[in-house]
Amino acid sequence: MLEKEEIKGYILADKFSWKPNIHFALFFTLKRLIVAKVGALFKDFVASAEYAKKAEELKEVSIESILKADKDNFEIPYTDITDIEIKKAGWKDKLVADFVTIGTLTIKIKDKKGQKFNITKLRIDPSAPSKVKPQKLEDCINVVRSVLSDKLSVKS
Amino acid sequence: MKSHSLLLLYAHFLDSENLNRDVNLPFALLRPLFVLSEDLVSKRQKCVNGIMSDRGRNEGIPVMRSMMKILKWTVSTCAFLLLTISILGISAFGAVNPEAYVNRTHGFSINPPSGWTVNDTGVSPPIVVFFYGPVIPETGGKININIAAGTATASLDEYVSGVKQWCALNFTNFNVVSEGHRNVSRLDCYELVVTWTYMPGANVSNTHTFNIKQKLVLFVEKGKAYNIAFTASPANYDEYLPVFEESLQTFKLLGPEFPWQTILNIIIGAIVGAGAGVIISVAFLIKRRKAKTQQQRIVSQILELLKLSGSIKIDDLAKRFATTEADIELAVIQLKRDGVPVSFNRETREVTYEKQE
Repeated sequence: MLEKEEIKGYILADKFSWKPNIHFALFFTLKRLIVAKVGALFKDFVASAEYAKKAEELKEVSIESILKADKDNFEIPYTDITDIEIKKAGWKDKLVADFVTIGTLTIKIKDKKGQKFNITKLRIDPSAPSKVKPQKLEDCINVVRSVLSDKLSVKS
Repeated sequence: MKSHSLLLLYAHFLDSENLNRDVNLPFALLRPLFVLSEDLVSKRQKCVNGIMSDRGRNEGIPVMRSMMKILKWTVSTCAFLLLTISILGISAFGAVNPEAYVNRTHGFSINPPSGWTVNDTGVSPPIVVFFYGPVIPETGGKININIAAGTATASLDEYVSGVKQWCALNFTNFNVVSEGHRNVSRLDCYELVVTWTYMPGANVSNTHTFNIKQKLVLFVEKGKAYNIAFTASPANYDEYLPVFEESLQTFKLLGPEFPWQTILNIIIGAIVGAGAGVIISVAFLIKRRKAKTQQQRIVSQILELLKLSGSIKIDDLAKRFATTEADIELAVIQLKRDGVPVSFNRETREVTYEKQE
């Protein structure tokens, strides 16, 4: 039954580390969050547009295939999420984390370590698949609000 | 941390959207390189679209031509930087006459009178240099110009007053002939014309007593006090005064030395950085092309397999092509877009070729 799950939307994000940044697409279904790796800086791609393109491709794929596609991919059932916070990036976030960060997304998980992502700037324009467009924080908030409105908190 | 951030910035500037945006100066200078990358990204996109949709196969990227273009842009950008820096350097720091005496320590230059000898070694501070002219027959000494320089601890008026007091105490028959403000190379100076009598002391080889006439030009600038002194006998003073004045008009205060070494390091760094960027871009370009070619190969081979078998489990296909199930699904989606009658059942996880009657 899980295969019939529909992806309601996704957010492009990355995790800053000393190793090359790993870029993820956070796919939101009605029941769970699928965290899917779309590439690593200088390992897979150089330009952000490539990550965006990969995420747009994965959106069409079944969730089971997404989860199997990479060992770094994982799922978080909404029942495990206690709080999800979206915060607009300040200059400190841009300096410390990533210059192309527009915001941060922090997920608090029941009995587990939370997850923090930097929301990246670009995504593929669904109406013109060969083009990129800015990923707006408002759109990201709306994606989360459509499935997790009771657990979402937004900070500016 | 810094290098990582720079890499991120580099990646950021490869984004086609950002390429069309005004950027701050350092990146604006390197903009031609990024614009070029945009061109490559656009070409690559055309190529990828061509492979995926079976259209525009002949729009492949001529890698050699692109590399030559990259080299051309790199060289022209570096040449532009070098030219700009040279122009800025000359205008900001000023050219110095090659015949001038230059003292970087005290930040001045002056042309010594023609034929006079220069001695700046073994001089006693605060004097930094002597220009020696002809011998004065009456004394056996030489007409000379000396320049003293040191840290200013007072204003010009206080400096002048201090010099006058010192001379009055140390020189016999000291007398101020004339004094007043004047300008030298746009500097506000104070001029003193003085006479005094040289008295031989102990430990001095010259045993004669003789009169001296001096013109002292004093000024205080940028925390330093300068004293340019012309010394002659009263009989020779007027004859050689124009020579001194001509030399004095060439006096210039110098700015800090142009940091050629730093600029050179920056240029070398920029060239190395740009070169590394070009190599990385080309490497990714080639890698991406290779991946896309492989993807296209998988698409065509899956079709062949499906035509033979009719229906195959997706995990079998993934194993067979040493790829992920997601890539197989993407290949199926591509085939469907191209009008091939294939389908993927998410429940049974089987890929099926629907044979047409």
